[in-house]
Amino acid sequence: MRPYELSLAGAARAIGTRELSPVELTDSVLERIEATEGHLGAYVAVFAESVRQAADRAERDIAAGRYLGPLHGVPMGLKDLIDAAGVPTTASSRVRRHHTAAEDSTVARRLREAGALLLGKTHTHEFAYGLTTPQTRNAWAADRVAGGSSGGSAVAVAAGGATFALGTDTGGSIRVPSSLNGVVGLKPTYGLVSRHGVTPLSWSLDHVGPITRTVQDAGLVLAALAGHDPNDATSLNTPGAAFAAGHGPYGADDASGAGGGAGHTREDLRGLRVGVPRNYYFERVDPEVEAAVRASIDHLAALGARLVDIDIPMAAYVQAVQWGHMVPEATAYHEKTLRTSPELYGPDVRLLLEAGELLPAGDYLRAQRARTLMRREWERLFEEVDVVAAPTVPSTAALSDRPTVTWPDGTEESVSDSYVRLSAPANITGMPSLSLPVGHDGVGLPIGMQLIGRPLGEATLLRTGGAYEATRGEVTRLAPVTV
Amino acid sequence: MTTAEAPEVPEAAEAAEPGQSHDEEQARREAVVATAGHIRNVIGVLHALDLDETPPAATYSAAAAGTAVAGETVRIEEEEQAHATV
Repeated sequence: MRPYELSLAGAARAIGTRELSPVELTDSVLERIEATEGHLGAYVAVFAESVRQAADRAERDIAAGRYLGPLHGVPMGLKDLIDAAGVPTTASSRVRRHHTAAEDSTVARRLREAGALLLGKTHTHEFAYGLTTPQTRNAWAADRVAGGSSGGSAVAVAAGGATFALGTDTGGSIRVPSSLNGVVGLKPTYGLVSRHGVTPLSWSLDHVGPITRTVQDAGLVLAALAGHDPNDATSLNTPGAAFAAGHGPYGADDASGAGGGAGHTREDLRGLRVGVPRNYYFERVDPEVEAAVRASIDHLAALGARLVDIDIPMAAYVQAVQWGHMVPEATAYHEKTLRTSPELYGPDVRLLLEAGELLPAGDYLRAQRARTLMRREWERLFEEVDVVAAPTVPSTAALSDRPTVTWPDGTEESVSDSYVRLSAPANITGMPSLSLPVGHDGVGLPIGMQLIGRPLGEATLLRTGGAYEATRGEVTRLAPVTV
Repeated sequence: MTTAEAPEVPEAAEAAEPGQSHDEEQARREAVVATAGHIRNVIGVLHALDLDETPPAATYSAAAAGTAVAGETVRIEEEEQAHATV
């Protein structure tokens, strides 16, 4: 196995035992980027010189006994909404063409302090306001969408162009591209990971989280990211937050991957109640996606989980509540630039931002009040179950030139709307959601399953996904990028 | 106000840009109004909800209770004890 093919946990083990040096790993990943980037377009910028220097420093520090943990010496990418001191945060937009970040975002700082090495900034759909990331190609099929908005991060991880990456998620933007590219994406509980220094799309829906090759890796990155940040007014400061990220299976105290939790072995899911939706999540879903996800849910049952049929509350209002928050909040953030230089936005993003100016405050407030009800109903749902299992997106990656999907019942839906449809509830409720690969369709495109948990239920999601991963092993396969 | 009514177009959407024809600008403005109308129609389904005294989730916190993980751990331990006694 070449170093760029290693998972984060695998690389950490090899670095920790001195079988692999950070320089060897970084050089391997940079060579992989060199070979694939012209084909994929995952990166806005690659900092080859500075990351090699950082790898050299990491190698010397580790040799001197100053090992910082599993992220030390591991190269990663940041979605280009996330500030890293001294380099531009372009948001993949001409609006930001002269921007340079004065300081690290909190997440960039925490990764740096954990020893991770910044490879480069990855493409986003412009200002994260879209689900396709048109600059970037799907890692599994060049004529398919990468998904978005964290398309560059997901494609880089899927192709071996980063050992892990960060994304942001407002309506599915970590989980959607992760699903479409066959990698793992974790949208944490709202407030668990700081958003200080991260360009917002919609303040009340935005989350930052890891995109990785394995569930175990997602836990390792989350452990480095999570924790209270006084610079973020929405940052949680509760003991539960520390528990969710720092303990239990695959948390900070489990870099070896040997943990079990509550006395269980890693593959034992006895006692876990998995909610299987009777409505919403399996409606207007591609039959191959449904079959793969239902088979995966059956596999969780075979590991000891108890399946519980559930009804998703207020399903008819998901899109309304999502749009009712996202559209006015996005427009509010861009208000000034929209006045001074609207021509710098791409046509699709400008259209949405300007349309947002026409929405009355009453609509926004109604959406907020509906959100209160929806959150209460979902909290009640989690009295019956520990995890909800469902498809991440209703279909695999769409052809790039096909903007709509037609369902068997004759209804037509935009590809972007269909991608958000199943992801948005976790943004509205703020509940954590983990997407993991569970198979491929007939033409070899990845299929993802999401596990939604109660607030601060990350450890349960990681345990459940980890048990699946340990016994099915779908997730370690890199995309077969043809170069 | 119903969702069918077209609101006024604000300043940003009205300003024609250099090099853009009047027709192009007009078409763009119409697209903005149509998109806003579509969004308002989608959001409009919320009128069907009885919101009663429900307050807005303006100061939003997903994890106010903060007891989620511990709850499951306790229950799993109880089930383990049940398994052990069977």
